[in-house]
This record gives sequence, C-alpha cells and structure tokens, in this order.
Amino acid sequence: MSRFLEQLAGLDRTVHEPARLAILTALSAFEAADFLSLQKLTGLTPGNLSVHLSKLEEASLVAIQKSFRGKKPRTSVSLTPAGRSAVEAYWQRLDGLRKQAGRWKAGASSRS
Amino acid sequence: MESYLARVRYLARHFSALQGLRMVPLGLFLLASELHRFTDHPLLQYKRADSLLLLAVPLVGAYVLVGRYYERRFGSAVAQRSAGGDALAAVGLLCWLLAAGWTDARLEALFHSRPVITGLTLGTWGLMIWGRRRERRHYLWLAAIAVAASLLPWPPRTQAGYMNVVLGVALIAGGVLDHLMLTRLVRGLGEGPHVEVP
Repeated sequence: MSRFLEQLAGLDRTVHEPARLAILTALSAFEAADFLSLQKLTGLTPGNLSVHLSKLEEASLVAIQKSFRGKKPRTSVSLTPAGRSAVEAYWQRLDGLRKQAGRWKAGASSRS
Repeated sequence: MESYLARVRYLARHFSALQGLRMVPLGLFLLASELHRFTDHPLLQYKRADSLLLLAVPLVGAYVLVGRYYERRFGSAVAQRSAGGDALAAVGLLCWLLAAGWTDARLEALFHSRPVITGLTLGTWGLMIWGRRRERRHYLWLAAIAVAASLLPWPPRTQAGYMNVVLGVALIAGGVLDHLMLTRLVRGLGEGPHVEVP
C-alpha cells in the first residue's frame, strides 16, 4: 500500500493537472494542432487554454509556432519528444496504478 | 475527471474521421450519377461521360467548401497516420468492390439478378467500421440496410446502379451522423474539467 502511495505521489504534477493532461492527450493524436482545434478538443476557454499552453511550453513539453495566414494570426502547437514520452508514460503509469488499486481493493475486501 | 479525459482522448483519436460532412459531396455525386436509371425525364438522359464531368465540378467545389467549414468551426489538426497507408487501403477497398460487382454479374442467374455479393461487401465495410469504433452504431444499421437492399427485387434497369445508390446513401447518412456525433461530443466537453488555473 505504501509503495502504491509513493508511486501516486511521484506522478508528474505538470502533466497531472487535468486541463494540461487533456491538452497533452489531445496533442498526442496529432503531429500538430491549431489553437481552435485544441479549444474544441478540450472544451477549455481561450484564456485558460493559453495559460496552460504557456506552462507546458515552459516545461518544454509542447512547441508553439505563431504565424500569419494573410492578416489572421495562427498558432500551431505540437508535442516535443519529451512531451510525447511524458504523456505516454503518464497514461501507462496510470493504467498500471489503476490495476494495482484494483488488486489492493480486492485484497482488502477478501481480508475484511 | 476520468470521463472528461476519456472523451478528450476519443475525440482526438477520431477528430478527422468524425468530420463526416466531407463524405456527403461524394455521396450526392454517386446518387446523381445514377438518376438516369430511375427516371425517363429527357433532361436526365445524358451520356455517361458528360454527366460525370458535369457532376464532378460541383463535387470538388462542395468538398472544398465543407473543408473550409470544418476549419472555421473546429480548427485544423494534422493527423499522425501516414497518407500512403490510407491511399493503399482505399485502392484495396475499391478493387474489392469492383470484384464484388463482377461476381454479381457472373452469378446473375443464381441470385435472380440481385446484387447480393455487392450488398454483402458493403455490409462488411459497415461492420468493419463499426467494429473499429463501436460508438458509431449507425454503421451497423447502414450495413444491415445495404444487405437488405441487395436482396430486394430491383427493377431491371436499375440493378446496375445498386452499388452507387447504396454507397451514395451510406456516405450521406454515415457522414451526417458522424458529424452530429462530433458536434455532440464537442458540446459535451462543456468548459473543460472545471478546474481553476493554479
């Protein structure tokens, strides 16, 4: 049980925050996505999305490219290799912890 | 939170596939190309090559407009799948369908001129799509309709158009239903996981 809690505490907090995890999960399906598609895929407000993207960029988990299409600004976001590894590792770890929690729960039920 | 993340994950994985309105122009093209079999109206008795050329122009235009609509409303994202793999799969499926049509023509006497093999092929496609993405239940229904339609006694003049008609209807219905699923999923995300930015 204590090992389980240690592992739970060790989850990367930059990735674990729900909105940032959603952004990384959404990006993991694409080579790159623009701001509007990320907004639609995560349901986040533009301001919220912008702040979380900045935090992810600071942590070098995403790369943001700003350009113009005519006069319209365009933001393109993609996962860095570190970001892709982090989100994949996160989901694998969470799936493992979920299984472990299931076994712990089953063990606790059989002991009671 | 898990339900929200599961929805995000599903939506991201199927984002391009659920933009179903992209299939509608092709569906309409297939239906329109077979109109001459179902009516004796003089305006619709055009030669095959002329009609296809005439229909191809609005098809391309409609496809471009639909693409722009999706980009304006849902943004754009570059999928990770290789274009080469998709093109190969499309060619393979087309060859399969042509082979089915050829087989139906050879077995005309056995099936009493019913396009059974083509119907089973289209039904199998629908099952394959549903099998890969179980939430898209409408493909199960479209598969059943394709098979059922192939067993109906089509009037002699129209049998040759069965494949295009059924495929056209399936593309339109499947495309619209996929699009409705996309809008429902996006709406269902609400305003994210309801967590304040720390």
